[in-house]
Amino acid sequence: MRKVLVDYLELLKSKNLIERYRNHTIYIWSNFILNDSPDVDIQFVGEATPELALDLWDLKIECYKQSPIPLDICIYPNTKIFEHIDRFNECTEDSYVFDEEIIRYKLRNYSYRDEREVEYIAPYLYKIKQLSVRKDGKYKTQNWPQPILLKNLL
Amino acid sequence: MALQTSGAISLNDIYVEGNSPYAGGQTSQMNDHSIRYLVEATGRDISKASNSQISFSDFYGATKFEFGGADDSSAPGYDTAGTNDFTMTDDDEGGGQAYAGTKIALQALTNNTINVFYKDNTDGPSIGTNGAIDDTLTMTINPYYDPSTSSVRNADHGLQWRWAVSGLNVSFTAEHSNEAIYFGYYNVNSFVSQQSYVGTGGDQSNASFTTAWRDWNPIPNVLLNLKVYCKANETSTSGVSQTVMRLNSGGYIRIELRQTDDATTADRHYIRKNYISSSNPRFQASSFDDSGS
Repeated sequence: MRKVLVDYLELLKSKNLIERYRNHTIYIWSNFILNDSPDVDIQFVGEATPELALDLWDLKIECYKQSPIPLDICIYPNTKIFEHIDRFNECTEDSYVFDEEIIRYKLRNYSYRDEREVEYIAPYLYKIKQLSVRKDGKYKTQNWPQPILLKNLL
Repeated sequence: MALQTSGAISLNDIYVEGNSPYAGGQTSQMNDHSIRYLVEATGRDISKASNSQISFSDFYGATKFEFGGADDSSAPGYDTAGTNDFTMTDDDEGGGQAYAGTKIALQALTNNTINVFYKDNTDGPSIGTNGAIDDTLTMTINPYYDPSTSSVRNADHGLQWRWAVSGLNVSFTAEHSNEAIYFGYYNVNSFVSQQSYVGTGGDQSNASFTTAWRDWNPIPNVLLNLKVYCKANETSTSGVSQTVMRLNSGGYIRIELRQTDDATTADRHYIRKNYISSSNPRFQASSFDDSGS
């Protein structure tokens, strides 16, 4: 296992995430597991509340202070998005269009080129209705990885 | 919290709500301004004139005057939780300047009352605009009324005001000079800081301060603008800058008002925000750039 990955998992382990967020199921769904990547994508599956958003924001700040690799946090109400991984990877169009409503929550409202509807909910909590994902960028040659339960990595 | 709207109501209940110096004491003083100038519930009238008849039922639902709140859902980053909140966040995703604060404006009216309104904003030291005011409350403090003589004074007998803050909790993530919190007022359009805490000085776990009294001769319809705001600005590409201001349990932020030639606490009026929770009141300015992710 790469040292940078080992170090980051140690950082996450030190945050005691499984216990701290016992009402949520936590996944690492990130290419960071396989290769060096600019961030670490982490998913919290469960209810998205303003209190959780504030707490996750603090977690993001804590981790960014200790590692130059930012934690990209996302909250999903369910795991429906994971059912699209194979179809997304097999898609040869420039854009993968979801055939059902995909809702997720982010802490920041970044600018993206894909189709989404963003609604401000509370400080550090943006509700995103994802309509499609572009496949003409980095994902033209790169697949979505499979999510891994955080507890299986630590 | 407002007084009960029905049932038994005690003199001390009224004193506590009015933050009167008589609260818990033995002296009955219904002429105290903190009592007669509680904000009445709709349909109630608490007589303002000294020695005039007053009924306990007049106090049903009355509340002390509080500031805070924001209800500007059109601007991401603004709190929309309700008018009793005093929570503001600003997040600069590019790692630039972020501000979170509230401007409190006092406006003397020609009928000898004062409008107090506030606006959550991210204008920082800039005075910003007065449009889209979050909420307005009328404070029936009479700038020309002298309680010692129960008479109307000359208009040149003005008011004085000051900040009084207790239980202030400020945390700085980077602890550099681009993180700070300021309390002050505007000299025309220029912000004048009266009290500040800067990141280089480290976190403040339980700070308290009171600024000096400042004169204010209210000119009808001319605003006295006050502001509290925090800032964060991360200039390095990999750093994190964040300033968070909260109150500890029992803490408060107050703007105190008194008549210029009356230094007694009995005639003092407060525009205030008390501790509610760790997120109310809360100002939080964040700045870092993780857009590469």
